[in-house]
Amino acid sequence: MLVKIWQALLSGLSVGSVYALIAQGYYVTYITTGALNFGQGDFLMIGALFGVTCYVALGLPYAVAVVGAVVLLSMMGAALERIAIRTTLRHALSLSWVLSTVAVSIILRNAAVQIWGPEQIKFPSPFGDQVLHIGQAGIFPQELFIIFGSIGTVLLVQFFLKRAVLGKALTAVAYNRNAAAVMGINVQRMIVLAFVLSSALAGLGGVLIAPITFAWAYMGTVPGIKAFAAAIIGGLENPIGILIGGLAVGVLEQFFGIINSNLKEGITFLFVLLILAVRPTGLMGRKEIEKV
Amino acid sequence: MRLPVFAQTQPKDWFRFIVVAAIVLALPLVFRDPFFVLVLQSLTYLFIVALGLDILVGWTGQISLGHAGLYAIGAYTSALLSTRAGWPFWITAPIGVALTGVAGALLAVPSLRAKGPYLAMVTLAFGFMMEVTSNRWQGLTNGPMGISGIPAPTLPGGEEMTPTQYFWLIGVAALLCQLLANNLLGSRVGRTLLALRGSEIAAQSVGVNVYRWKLLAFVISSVYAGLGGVFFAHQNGFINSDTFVFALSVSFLTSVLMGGSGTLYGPLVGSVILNLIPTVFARLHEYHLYIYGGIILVTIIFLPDGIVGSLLKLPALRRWRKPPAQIEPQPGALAFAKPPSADQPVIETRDLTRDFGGIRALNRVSIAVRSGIVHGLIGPNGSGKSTLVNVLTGLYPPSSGEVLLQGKVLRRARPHQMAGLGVTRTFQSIRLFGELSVLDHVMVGYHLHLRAGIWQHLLQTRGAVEEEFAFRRKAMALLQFVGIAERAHEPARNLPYGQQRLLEIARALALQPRLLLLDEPAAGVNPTEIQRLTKIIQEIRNTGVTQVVIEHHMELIMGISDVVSVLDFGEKIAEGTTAEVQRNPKVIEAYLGTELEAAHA
Repeated sequence: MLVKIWQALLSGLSVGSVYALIAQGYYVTYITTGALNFGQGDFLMIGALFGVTCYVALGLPYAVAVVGAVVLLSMMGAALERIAIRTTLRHALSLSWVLSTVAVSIILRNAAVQIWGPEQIKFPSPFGDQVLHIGQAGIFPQELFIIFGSIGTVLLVQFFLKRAVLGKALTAVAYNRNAAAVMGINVQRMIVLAFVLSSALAGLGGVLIAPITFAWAYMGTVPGIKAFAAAIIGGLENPIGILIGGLAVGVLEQFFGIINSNLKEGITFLFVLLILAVRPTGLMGRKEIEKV
Repeated sequence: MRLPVFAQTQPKDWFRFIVVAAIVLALPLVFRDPFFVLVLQSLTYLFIVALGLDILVGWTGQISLGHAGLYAIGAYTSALLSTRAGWPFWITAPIGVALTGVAGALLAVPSLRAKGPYLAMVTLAFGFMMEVTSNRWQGLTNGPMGISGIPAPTLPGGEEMTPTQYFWLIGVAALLCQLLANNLLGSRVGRTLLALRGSEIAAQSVGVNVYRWKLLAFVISSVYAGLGGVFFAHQNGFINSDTFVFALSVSFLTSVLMGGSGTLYGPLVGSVILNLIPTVFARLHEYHLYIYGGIILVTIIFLPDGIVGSLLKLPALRRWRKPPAQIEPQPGALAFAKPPSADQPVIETRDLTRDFGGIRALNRVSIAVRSGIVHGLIGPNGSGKSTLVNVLTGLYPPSSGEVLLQGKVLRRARPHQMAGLGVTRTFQSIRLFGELSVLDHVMVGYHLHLRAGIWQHLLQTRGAVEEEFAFRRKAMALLQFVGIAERAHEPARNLPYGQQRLLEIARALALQPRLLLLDEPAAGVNPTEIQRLTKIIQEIRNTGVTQVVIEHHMELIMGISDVVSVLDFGEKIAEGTTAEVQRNPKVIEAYLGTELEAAHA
């Protein structure tokens, strides 16, 4: 039993770190615009399938596939901002961007089926299929790479936002858009940057997990939504909360997977409902006091 | 002829209704193609779900990404009860609808306080949970293999309905659903929901129990979704888990937005158009997601008001609408105050302290407000005046100390409960109810005095209609009192700033309060309007209502106050008549001191 729990913890961390990676993208755009990409999962799917083309079909090195996916998704992020976000942010129904980003994701899924076909495509891991043993639990080298790659990237993003000049400008827009504009920061450009960053993270997530799942047009929905749940559990405005939330969701699922594989699929959603009933802004989110 | 129910419906309306019903019900007789009848059935029950969804989206401003889950509950309940227990449709259908209503109430619990993306997550998580349940709980739902042999409803003779008859059943239900929604949303219920959407805090200040009304909206919306699900289950005799997916929730939401949310007939137009698309483009199956996604994008970006909403904005159609009827003000709408009770203070605080994190906004403040007077409250910025009002109206609980209302200690009274006890307020930063008209703002103010409930409004009983009419006249009188009666039918947000402040006073007076707290009523108001405001405050005092007025405008406060209390850094530093306060050295220091410091800074 103990081995099973240890195994679930390891596997959970690997899946969870991908959730955390995607959810970090939600964080970046949410603090700058109050909106996020509901099609983030399908951006991840495009990243994975583009990785397939680079690594499997063209035989390019894995690193090239990773960089290629990140670059492609960055450009798609800028396009998404132009098409689905800038056009809807000022609407009366404050959540119009939910539907506009969902619409983009629906279109992407159709495109993916046309380009790559509807089948699941195998993406061999560049680190081989040799199972490593930590304690008595087995783990693929790719899974270890995912954990370190994702958490490392999350920390890197935080470093960028807190230390780099460009990152600080973005954070400033998040704190106070008007004050940032008065200080000479181009707010619109920062919003684009936020969506570029967010989409790049999804693309990276795609190339990271493709070797342990499969790559195909319908792979994105579930991780996208679960990453959203992770961000909500942690609190959308709290990057550390999101990291913990992502890992927690991954581990929680694997734990419940020990008991019952059906429970595994639903537990995250039950969990997020229970948390929001008690804490409407997530476990580590800021409690909102409306100023009157 | 005026019936006791549907009392407002004229013979002309009945005639129109019967014509529409006849046309809808004749459709399957004109187009006899069996496939066409099936499409008609689907369009109709999908419309019922969209209509219910719009009660949430259009009236409370809440988005739901999980309506497919509610639809599933209705469908599975009726399907399982009729196949496993063998119960007839006429019993399983109401149970399915009722159970969906219960699920909606449960779903409301985490939805009540969550906002924005958090709220989207609640409904999304619910939808996915139901998706997983229907897919994985095979013992109950048989997952993708589905449930077959679901019987069609039977006629009184015992034989099963034909598809055409089944369409008639769904069609009549849909017509009723639309009629009841029109009644409900055109009445007090719709008005209250719109008020919540505009400002929860302002709605609470006149006694609206926000949670209860949101819960109501969720339950009604769910009942509609459940009914749609039930009709779906009995259509083809087969359901499986492939139907109840996120994409279906998206399609419900799209049809509402495409038609125009908050327009009564938007869901009808939107769901008919959206659900006909797959039939029309059946040959382009390979591209159907492109088409579908493209339609959503175009709708959201270029038709933010939806089809019906955009049509209603056309000037030609605006002119065509009937001008609102003249309403004769009811004299005596202000004569509600009880005579001031001699010595007992209306409201009193004892050692009231309120902290925000490490900041002490109020420090052991003890104030007693005598009955029937105007009690001024002044102090430099940040001295705690607004915090005091927020504690007195129940918005913030005190950190320590107590609040007494007419000698009784209050235990954690929430704002709508304080309103119920006769304490209400206006707001420093004006809080209006979005699109509501000036008159409707005051009608919401009468919330606690309106007796007709949801059932009476649903059926538009004579009682409800007459009550509404009587209170309109009272509301008109209050508007006349503050001097904005001629703008009664305009959207309140079109009023100039000063008149919006006066409207807030009229809305608060509709509660018929014993204590009215005015939070900077003169801020941003021009000199002529300040004169009017002064007169209004004096007249309110003459009726016997106690007032607490926060103001920076010294001329106003010294002109109207019987007693003035002065706060500085969260503490009460002086209290007395206007003359006493003006001579008080501490007060002079507090004011001049800040100015000197400001001059140095």
